[in-house]
Amino acid sequence: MTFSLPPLAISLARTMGESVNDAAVRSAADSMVRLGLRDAGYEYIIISDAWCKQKRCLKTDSLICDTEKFPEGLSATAEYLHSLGLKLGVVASLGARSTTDRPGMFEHEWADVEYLDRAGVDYIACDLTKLPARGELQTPLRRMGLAVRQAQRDIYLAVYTDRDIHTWVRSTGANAFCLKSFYNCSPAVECDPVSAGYSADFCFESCGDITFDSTESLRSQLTIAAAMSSPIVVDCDVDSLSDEALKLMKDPLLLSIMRDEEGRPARRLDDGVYCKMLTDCEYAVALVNFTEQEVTRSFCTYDFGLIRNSGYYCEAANVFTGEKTDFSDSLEVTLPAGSSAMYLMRLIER
Amino acid sequence: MIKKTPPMGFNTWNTFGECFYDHTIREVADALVDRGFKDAGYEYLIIDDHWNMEHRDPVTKRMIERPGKFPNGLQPVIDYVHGKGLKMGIYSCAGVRTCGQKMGSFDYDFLDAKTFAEWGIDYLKHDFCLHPELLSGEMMYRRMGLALRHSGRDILFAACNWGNDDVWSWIRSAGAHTYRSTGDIYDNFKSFVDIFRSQLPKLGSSCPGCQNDLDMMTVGMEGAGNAATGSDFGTEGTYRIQFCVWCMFSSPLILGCDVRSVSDKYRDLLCNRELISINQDPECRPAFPIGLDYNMAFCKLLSNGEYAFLFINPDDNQHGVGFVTHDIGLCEASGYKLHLTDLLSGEELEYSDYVSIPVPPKDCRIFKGKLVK
Repeated sequence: MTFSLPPLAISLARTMGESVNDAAVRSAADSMVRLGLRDAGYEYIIISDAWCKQKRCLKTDSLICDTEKFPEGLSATAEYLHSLGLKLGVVASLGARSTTDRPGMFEHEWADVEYLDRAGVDYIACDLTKLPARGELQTPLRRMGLAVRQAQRDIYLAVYTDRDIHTWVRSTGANAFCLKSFYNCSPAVECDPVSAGYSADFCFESCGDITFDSTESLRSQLTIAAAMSSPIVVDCDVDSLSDEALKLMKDPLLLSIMRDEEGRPARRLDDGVYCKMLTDCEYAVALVNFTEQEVTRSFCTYDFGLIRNSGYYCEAANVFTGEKTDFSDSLEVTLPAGSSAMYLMRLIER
Repeated sequence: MIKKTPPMGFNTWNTFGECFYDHTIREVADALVDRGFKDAGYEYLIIDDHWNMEHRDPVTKRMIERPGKFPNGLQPVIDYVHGKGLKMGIYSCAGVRTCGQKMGSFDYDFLDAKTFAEWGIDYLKHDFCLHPELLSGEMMYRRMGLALRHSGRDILFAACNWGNDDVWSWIRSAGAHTYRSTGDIYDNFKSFVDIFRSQLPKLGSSCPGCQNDLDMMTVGMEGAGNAATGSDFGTEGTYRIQFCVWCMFSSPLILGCDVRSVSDKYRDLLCNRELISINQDPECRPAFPIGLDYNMAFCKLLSNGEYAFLFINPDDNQHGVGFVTHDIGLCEASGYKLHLTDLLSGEELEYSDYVSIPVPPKDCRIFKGKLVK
């Protein structure tokens, strides 16, 4: 019930990996507050499962916190984040082992969720690394979904996989699912329009974690994420974010497009052309170029549903520059390689 | 317009077909209020095909209501419906003509939407007959979606393209609140079972703000009315199955029976608050099949941490319908048992690994469940 909007998060999973520790997480949290990310809506800090030891307790089968990295346990870190109005997330595998060769949650879902719940964790991002070859997919996900529901805390459950789960993942109680991610492909893949039809309040399709080596790349990934109402999870070193990157990540217009109350999916009208109906008669038009050459993208009003005798024309404002343009048949935008443009559009009566 | 939960109301088609008039609508409005349907949540009173003429006004190009049905015009009827605290629904078609060959909205989407808004319409059922075959079906619904948004009034958009053009993949993005994915329903067991079975692969497609519409219900029709097919209309048990399935699958709940005369027992079923709460759950999570007899038992996660369970026996003999709790993710390691409450009888049951519910022939049982230590 609590998760009707897609979340905003900073991830340290790839950036820090094995070197994650209590002090670093606290420092990232402090930076998120200081740089205004928390106030812009970034709520979660997600860490890899390198917080725990590589073997379970032989006696109890429980996960064991690596006290060299988290001397007072995960709960102390979580408590610190909570005191700042932030929340702690962890990555986990639903399979037998994780990508960092740590224990997976397979057949341990209830016990591990209880552990994380007690430790104050608010978000679990699971993938299906090393799912047993003879294991099937629904059971671990359903155990996970039920276990999270029974937890004391409100725990956000995100599932990352390239398997076809979108037709039923929402029935498990999950809050986000990611089938294809920016990280898996280079240049970033365009989101599958069919699975976006399954994205819904309380369970959003994610475009995957955002990692970037240029501002343009960040802008493009944020543009797609906003158009698709995807959770935004930016994997980065918070202190190294440039002013420009911070500005993009906190852009209120972009975030309001992403978190639009009506929650309708975008529709892919053509290669690199997306349109999303927003509340209050506004529309988001995202034009993206994930190729390696310059292209011209065309948003055609006919494809959008505006027929000639409607009596309306379009007025579009570039979300990043504020520049306005009006048109009645199409909006043509030339995009350099790897770049994008996002417009907030209204219909004006003639 | 933001409407996240499935709409509830009444539509003239199943009972009246093309035979409804000013007085019919007023009587239906009275019945919806006086017999408790409105209090249970049934708020939209929708008039279906045949309300309008075969031509438009030559000057304004607007649709015209049939004077034979509405001698004083449609407006007083709409005002009467609003006066009863109900919302008014109307019908049009993406094609040039409706299925009843009355005027359709093709190429007039924006004018028609504005007309409906001015009249005070709150809901539009948009059918798919007689549309240009060469054009994209998606485009036609996109247009009306836009037109309704800019009509000047909140009008719920109930698309009805019978599952064509892979509708599940784009209909939410087009602004619809509900969409029909099958042909029309008739008042017999096979009809609604075929409908819901055909939508089993699409259970994941209903969500807050846009639900897969299994069609107007035939519950309580008992063989009378336009959609009746004779004496095979079924039993109390099969009507119960229909209503419970509609609730579990988060379909819009649109009454098709004659609400003026439907028996109290069906009125009570259709107004059962616990069953309706399963339908109106805010998270609108899809039901999923569980069980040894696949597709006869379903579970749905509810937003308050509870679970809904439906067990259907389609056979002519009584038997148990069951499932292994492991299939919903409940295993011994959890330390929990499943506690079930029968929503119609009040019976309470508890299970830890295997659930078997005795279900009478051609009937169902519906439960809310919670996990207890």
